[in-house]
Amino acid sequence: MSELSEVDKTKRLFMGLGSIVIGAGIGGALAYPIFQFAVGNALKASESGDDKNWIELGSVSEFKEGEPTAKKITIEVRDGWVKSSSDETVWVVKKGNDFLTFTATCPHLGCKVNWIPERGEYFCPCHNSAFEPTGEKKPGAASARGLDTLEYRVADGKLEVVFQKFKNLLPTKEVFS
Amino acid sequence: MASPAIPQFNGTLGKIYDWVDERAGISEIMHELLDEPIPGGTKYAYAFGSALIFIFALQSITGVFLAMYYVPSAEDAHKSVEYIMKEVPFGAFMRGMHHYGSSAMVIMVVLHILQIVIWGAYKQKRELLWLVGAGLFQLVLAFSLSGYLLPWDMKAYYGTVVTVGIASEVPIFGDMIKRVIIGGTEMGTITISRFFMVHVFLLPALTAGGIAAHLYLFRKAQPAGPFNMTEQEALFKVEPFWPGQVFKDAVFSLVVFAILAYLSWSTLAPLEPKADPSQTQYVARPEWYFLFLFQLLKYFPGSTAIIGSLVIPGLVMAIITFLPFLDRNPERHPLKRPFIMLGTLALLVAIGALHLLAKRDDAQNFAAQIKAQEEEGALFLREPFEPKDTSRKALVAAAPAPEAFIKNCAVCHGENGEGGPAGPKLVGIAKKENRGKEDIAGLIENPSAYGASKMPPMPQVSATDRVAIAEWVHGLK
Repeated sequence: MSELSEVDKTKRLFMGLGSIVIGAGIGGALAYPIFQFAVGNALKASESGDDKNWIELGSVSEFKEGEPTAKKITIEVRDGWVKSSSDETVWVVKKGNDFLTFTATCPHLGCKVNWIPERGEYFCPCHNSAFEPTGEKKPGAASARGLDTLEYRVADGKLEVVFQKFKNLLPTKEVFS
Repeated sequence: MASPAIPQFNGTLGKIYDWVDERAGISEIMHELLDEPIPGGTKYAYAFGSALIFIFALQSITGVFLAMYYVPSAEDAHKSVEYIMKEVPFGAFMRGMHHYGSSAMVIMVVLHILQIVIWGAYKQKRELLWLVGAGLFQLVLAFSLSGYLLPWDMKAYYGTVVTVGIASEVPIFGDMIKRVIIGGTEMGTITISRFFMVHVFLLPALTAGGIAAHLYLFRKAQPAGPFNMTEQEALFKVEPFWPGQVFKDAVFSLVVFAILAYLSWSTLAPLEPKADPSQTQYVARPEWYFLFLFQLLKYFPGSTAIIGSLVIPGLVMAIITFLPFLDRNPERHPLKRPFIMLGTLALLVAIGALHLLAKRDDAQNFAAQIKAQEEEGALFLREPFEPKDTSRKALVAAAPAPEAFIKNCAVCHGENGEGGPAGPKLVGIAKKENRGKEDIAGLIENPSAYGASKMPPMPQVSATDRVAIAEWVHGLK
């Protein structure tokens, strides 16, 4: 095998490179569909569109002035091939004729905040972010912004909100959809 | 080590290569893998084994990614496959590659075996190599049987009903075997879950180990070389595996890949509606490469059934498996081994004839139903994807049937529109063409005007009731 003629050398080089090119070609031709398949619908915009989906929280008269109340709501989620229901919590505070409606999701990394009556603050147990009753973040909070408010309206004496999810970490509220 | 397969690099690249090589021994591995001498020179006829490894790799890759979406449960299996086919980018392509790849695997394994038999390459201390190969052949068939159930559509369900039925023909232990295979007495989630585990964990692990053993034994025995040369002649014309044989293997694999990619791109892998155990008209047929076995069953009625289903296939498989022990003649030239060659030919002719008989029988007796099933499957694949609705809203919305429906329609269509012996299923009818609420109301009055000529007109149903029925039927999901 040590004495290869020039013709043999060229032939061997062609076959060697040819094998590598074919291997790379097949790999490349597969890589794109596989990548797209694996990403799937993860980056597709959600179907809900611009229609606001108003979810009822209860009668206006239920809520006591200045007292944070947790309200469980049911939202519709599209989970791959399934349309299902999921529960979420919304914090509601009545302020005269107005309301503060917060999502219970901490804007830091997405844990849930709870109302601690003794301390008069919303508190996220994950990274010790504390928020004022008005939703503003307290000094020392890990979160870059205060609690996220949800759009609300009063219709026929019922309080309704539009439930949304927001991006983590940012100093300002941005819809995550 | 002077070897033409080992890359030679100069400068910095050479230093990096040397550094890695001293630690990882790349040159040694490359020498072992690639400088294998092939007596008699490289040939396209030797490419089937490599092509099998290539297809196995393709099946593994596409399979791993399909498992990203597939859910092995009776509830979700079919819907998740439908989701892959209709909603996931390149989903139909990926499933197509896996679906057509399974056929390619069976074809290639048969070609590989035929090449070895014709070349007499199982002789001269290659018994273990052949035995491992026979085991791998059976693993390929097990892959095919276990994967067939996973989409949980009509053909998957009934195909598997028949397969496990055959397993239950085993004397004494038959029922026990059947129960263990399906995980009880009813086919459902437990069955799918077992088949899934076998298909994606057990068989791939066994196959990978089998391939490793097969390759090791192959290298140990060394390639047999051409059947028409003496050992000395073959050694005189020896060529190394790299690059000649690798190139031929690569070209052949590229052809296989191109065919599979073209098929996956141009023709959707079939998916029929979800398994429905109440369907009595369905004509169940196995995958095309098992059709000859299916035909064989027809010739052994009643208590002799086991002869066609287990005894004959079992004997043939045993002969194939132990061929190197049965054929001790050292002669390799096919023309000087008439018994083996004619036996192989007879087996191929028998398989081909049974296949054609099965086709002819179906064309004569079941053509209309099989065509209808194919059309239903094609229609199902064209329908837009409708997610499974498990939301609380949907549960509330599932209102009871109006009284007029119970009185006039339920006899044929079932109380919940699920379909009955005389009337088709109404659930999901809104997805079909020309089946809006008004169409349904109109159809009740004058069925033939809406293409439902088998249904009698219902003049006794009032216009108000027609609207109420149409409203309810249209909402059935």
